Amino acid sequence: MIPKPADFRYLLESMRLVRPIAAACRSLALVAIGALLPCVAAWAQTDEPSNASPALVALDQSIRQQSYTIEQVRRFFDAKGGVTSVRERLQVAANGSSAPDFATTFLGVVGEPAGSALHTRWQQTYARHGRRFATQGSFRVTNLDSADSNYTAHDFGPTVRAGRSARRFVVFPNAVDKSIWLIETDDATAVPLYAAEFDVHVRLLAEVEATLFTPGAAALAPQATTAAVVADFQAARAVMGNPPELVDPPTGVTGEYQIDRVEVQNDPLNGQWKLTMTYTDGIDQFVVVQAPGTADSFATLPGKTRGAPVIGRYRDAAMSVLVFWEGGVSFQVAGRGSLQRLDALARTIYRHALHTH
Amino acid sequence: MKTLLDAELPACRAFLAGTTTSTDDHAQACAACAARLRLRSGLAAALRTPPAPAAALQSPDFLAAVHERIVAHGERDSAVVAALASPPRPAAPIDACEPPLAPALARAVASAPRASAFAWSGVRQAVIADIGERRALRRRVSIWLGLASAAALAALLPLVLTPAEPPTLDIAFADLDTAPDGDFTVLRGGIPR
Repeated sequence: MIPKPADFRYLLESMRLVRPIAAACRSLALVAIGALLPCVAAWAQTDEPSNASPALVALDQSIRQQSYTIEQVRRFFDAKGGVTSVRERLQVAANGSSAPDFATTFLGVVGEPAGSALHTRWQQTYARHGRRFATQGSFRVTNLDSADSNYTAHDFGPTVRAGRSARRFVVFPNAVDKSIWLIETDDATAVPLYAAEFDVHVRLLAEVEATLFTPGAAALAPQATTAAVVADFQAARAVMGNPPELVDPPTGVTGEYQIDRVEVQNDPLNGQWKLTMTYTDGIDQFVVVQAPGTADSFATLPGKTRGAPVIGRYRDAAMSVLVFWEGGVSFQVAGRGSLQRLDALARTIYRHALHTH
Repeated sequence: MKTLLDAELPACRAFLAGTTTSTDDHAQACAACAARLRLRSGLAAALRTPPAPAAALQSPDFLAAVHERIVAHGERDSAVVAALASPPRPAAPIDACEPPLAPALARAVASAPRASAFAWSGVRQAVIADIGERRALRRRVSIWLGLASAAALAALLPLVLTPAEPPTLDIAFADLDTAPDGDFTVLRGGIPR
């Protein structure tokens, strides 16, 4: 049935009123979205979130901008309560990034005469692992956004450390399976002069204490290193000659820990390659190490001889280390002792290794 | 009281309806049905041959007289009668187009009251707007369908692209008494003592 012209006139009048209002609303919505998007993008790209802890921001900026030389004592605690104190010198040359150039020098073992067997062993250890002590063995903000998301810094007021004015903070994790940090930062430079790591039971796990701090640029002693930092897993595999047995740890099982650094190392003595992938939540770190061409140390275990996959696990208050072999590759997943979720990660990587091979 | 007719009636009905197969037996037994059967055969033959119309009815003059009679006694006000009263048009060639409407009907349509141009303009605009709305609706529906399809595809894509989950194996953990050699072990515990 065809409507009467009068009905159409009424409809037309109504539509003449409704359409402009709808168009205006649509335009306003588009303008609002257009105005908000750049703000959101700018907020997302900013290096300093507005709600980030000032202490964490200062630590992050210090790593990027501050050059200095520091002499410090690093204390290692064993499971039986024994302590070994080692003196070292760390020279840092800031380069604007979160990975400054640096050099580590072994100075001696406290209470141990130079030239003793223990002194020599530590000297050799520093020659091999000294850089890792600096990058992974101290308190360091590796990613400000992640650190701010996963930790809270509490200011406990002024103090004095290494003859300098400092400020004491407790950096508390938002998850219970991580360490609690007590740090003291230099007032002038925000460089940590003291860092103590505790577990949730307030047991002291590690400690680094400055004895002498000199801000300013330093001439770095040349450091021999066989490790190369690459962009990602694929780049590392290409450097290593594309061994098919390597496993790219699946994303999504590492939680708030994101990939921080991928290193490839070639042993000059036997030519063996080693891939080290470091994950971080902004402060804490764990590593996944893969070394192709390694003999299976578990091959003679009873379970292994029956063909059942086995993961070797060592765990104490300070560290969790999980090792397994598959396809001629030695896998090692290692992190803090309280980080029990590494068990699940190791199992996932093992399954992928079994599936790949 | 039961009569002979009552007894014979069902058989007669079945015979006349043609639902029985034993027609010859019943026709021989029932005189009435036999008479009807003969009459029906005669009528069927007569009906198959249409009767020829009377010669007078086939004459053009007779048809013209009928036409004149209708015109003379018909309703003068009727448009149909008026159309019949008009002189017949000369025969048109076979391939010529017939006029779309009879003249009387064309006049009737032409004389119908017309809506104002403004009103019809409104109708036209409304129709156009309605078509536009339908197009816009179809376009919106297409866009939403496209977005929904894209979202569904995006949701399903990981399922397609994700490699098959490795087979679930019973992986055992063997606790170790000493920390395995490695950078992290030295980093956390120093050198073995």
